[in-house]
Amino acid sequence: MTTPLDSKELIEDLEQLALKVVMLAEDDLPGLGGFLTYLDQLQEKIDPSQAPEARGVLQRQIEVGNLLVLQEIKAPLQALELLSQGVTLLLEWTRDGKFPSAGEAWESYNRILGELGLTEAVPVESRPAAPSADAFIDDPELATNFLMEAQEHLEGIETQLVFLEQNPEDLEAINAIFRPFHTIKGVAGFLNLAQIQEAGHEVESLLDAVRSGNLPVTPALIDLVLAAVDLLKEMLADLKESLAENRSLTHFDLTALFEMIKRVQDTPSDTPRLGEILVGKGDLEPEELTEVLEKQKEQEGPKRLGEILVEEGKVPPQKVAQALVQQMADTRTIKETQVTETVKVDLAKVDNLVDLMGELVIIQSQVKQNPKLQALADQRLERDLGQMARITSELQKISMSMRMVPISATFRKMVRLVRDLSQKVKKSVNLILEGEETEIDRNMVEAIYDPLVHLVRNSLDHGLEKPKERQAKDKSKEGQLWLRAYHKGGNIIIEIEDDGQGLDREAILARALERGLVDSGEQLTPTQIDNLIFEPGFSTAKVVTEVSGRGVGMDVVRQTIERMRGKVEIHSRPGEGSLFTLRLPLTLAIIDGMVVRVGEERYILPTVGVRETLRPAAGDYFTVEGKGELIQVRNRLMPLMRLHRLFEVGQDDIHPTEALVMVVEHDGEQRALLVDEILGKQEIVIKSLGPIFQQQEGLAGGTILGDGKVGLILDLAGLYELEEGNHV
Amino acid sequence: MDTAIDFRMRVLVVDDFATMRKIIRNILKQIGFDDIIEAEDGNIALQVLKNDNIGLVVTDWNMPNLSGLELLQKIRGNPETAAMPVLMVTAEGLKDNVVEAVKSGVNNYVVKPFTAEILQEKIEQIFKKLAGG
Repeated sequence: MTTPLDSKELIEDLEQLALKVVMLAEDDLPGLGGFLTYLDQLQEKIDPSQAPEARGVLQRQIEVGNLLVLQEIKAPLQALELLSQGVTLLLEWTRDGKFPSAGEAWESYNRILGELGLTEAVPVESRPAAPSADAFIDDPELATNFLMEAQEHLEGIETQLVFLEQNPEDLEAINAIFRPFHTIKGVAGFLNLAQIQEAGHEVESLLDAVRSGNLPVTPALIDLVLAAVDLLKEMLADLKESLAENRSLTHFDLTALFEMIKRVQDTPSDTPRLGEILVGKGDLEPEELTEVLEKQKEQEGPKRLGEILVEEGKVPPQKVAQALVQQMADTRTIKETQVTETVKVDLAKVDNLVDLMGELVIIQSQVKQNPKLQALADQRLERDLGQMARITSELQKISMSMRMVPISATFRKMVRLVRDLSQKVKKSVNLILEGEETEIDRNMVEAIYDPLVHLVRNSLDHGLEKPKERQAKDKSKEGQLWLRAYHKGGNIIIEIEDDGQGLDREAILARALERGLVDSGEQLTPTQIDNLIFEPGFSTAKVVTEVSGRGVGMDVVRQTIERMRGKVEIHSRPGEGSLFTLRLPLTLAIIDGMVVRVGEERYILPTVGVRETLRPAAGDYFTVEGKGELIQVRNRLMPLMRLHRLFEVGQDDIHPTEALVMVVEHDGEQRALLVDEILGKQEIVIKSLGPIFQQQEGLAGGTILGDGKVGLILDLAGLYELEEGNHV
Repeated sequence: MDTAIDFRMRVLVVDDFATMRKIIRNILKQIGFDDIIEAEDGNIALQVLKNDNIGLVVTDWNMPNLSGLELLQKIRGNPETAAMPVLMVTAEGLKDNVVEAVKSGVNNYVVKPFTAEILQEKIEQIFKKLAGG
């Protein structure tokens, strides 16, 4: 046999290699690395068909080199000797043009192979168990940090998973899912969290197989990973509790997870994703798919699913073609959120900063308005004050923005919710997120979660129709659901929109009549009818479903949003869909308030609760036995509340016709509030009243007004209760 | 103890997981290092390397944006940092990564979870080798 390249080049290469091998040491990783790179290059230069033996030796060299790198060889010195003999063999081969399959070098090469136990396929020894590493984890913050970070990462996984399900070939998405498991496992290993490590490890290995293309992305796999995410979340929650209560960790039963993993691993790798695409698009019913898959198994010889589907007349050929194109083409990636450098700061510090900034803005305006300063009429002072005002307001904005976080985390939780729910209600839903980067006050994030869940559930359960129904209406089989967020005029707007059937006004009206929410004679506008669903105790679901019918209705949504001084609006078009708009203040620290005078005191009434202000005529005021004082506003009677009496300030017997009445609304109930005078409307920085006044019913907080005095902020819910208490 | 390590050097720890960085920092401190700086991804690490006097890079392999391998290749590709000692932190089961890293010129690697002794041994090996030992 001749050398494929009887060139000088190959001989020179091998001589270089021979030099390298002499210099090698078992623990010289850079050296081994260079050696291996060299072997890789050589391998490309040798034509395997012409020199199988040489090729075999080269292959073995690479394997042994790898084992040395991985420290998986028992006798590293002998392995080095083997490498050296191998190079000698290759050199002889190139020089003589004949592979030396006899002779001293060949014999010694094979002898060492035998001694190393490498005559057969290279065994892969498992690495000895890593030593327990708890000795140096004495930092109490570590576990807490880990909890927070792991939680964040797990939430990221959920979004990526739903994306991956739609784009099974997207490597970046697989990596993005693999990475958190990998890291969580890694840290858990250090923190001696054996079970978290174990669960993380199993899922990681599985995902590694997916990553390397040995396992397909199937719904079963996605379900498995989601289940693993849930399990890990539970384990983290347990860890959190155990840290707080100083107890030991609960032992979790991982067998179910491991069985799931085994099932997914055992699934043949040619699982027909095509079928799932077709089912997903609504071109094929799941039962039909199962039936055809059965047939595919019975058929002799491999037949493509698409072929059978067309033959059976289940799906038209062009639909199959479309699905195939989709299968190949869909490879867009989720934009990775841009990484910016950050510092973690205790939220309490930020809250404090925001409060103080609010005060600074106020004191700044007080200084500016100080009559004595103004009397100076000094241009320079005025200019400086103006400059100070600008800087203060800029500072306030920045400090406020420090407490703002993107709404994306909240939105992403909805992705998971929609996926789970759509399976439950057997509707296919395409969720579109818009404005994920929109920022929201950190303190509002938790409060908006429940209303959002409720509205999303509502859309899925009552709004969107089943695929067949949609088809009958000439709509796409897949229901569209939009979640949007944006800033507008000092508010953050969150919209939940679906292209479903819209609100059923007849059913709503009928239910409202039945519940006595409206009188049969009342003429209501469509908007008024729609808004009835927010009335306490209202629920239109014909069947109480597992999804929406939980006894709490949309009234809870409205209450929660109003508690944050926000508003909910509905726009519904029958047959076309519904749009729910949540309008929330940008921050909870500042409110729009009406400053009112009651006696000598000033109170602030949040503007959102005020419906109208009027001075009642003598005929509009009634006293009713047992019900107290009432005011009639356009044929509606409402109880009168005297702030003078509730807070024991000023005259308490002033006649309503000599004062002002503000119609306020809370929880759907309107009442009249008696005040002396409205002093103005302004933005108010809320300050907590501190422990002494926290128990004071009817007050939500305090603020410092323009003249430096304190004004108290009224809390309608508390006022209502206070008033009722007075009557008892 | 007789050691080839100069503990006065500044060590750069690269990992996207803050908890992991903290763990590695703790272990490095335990070994005797005092000057430790962290980077949360490969791109930041490159910035640090450009502007700071780093003696050793300890980097995770599996990172978004710029992986450990890409970071290593950039370090080796830049004449100013080509000789920078780089220690790879990896997980068991990811053998292909290790071989790939070694071929690309990583100085040593360590498998998670590791003890202070193991990490010290690996760093010791690096500097012994660099000193020509």
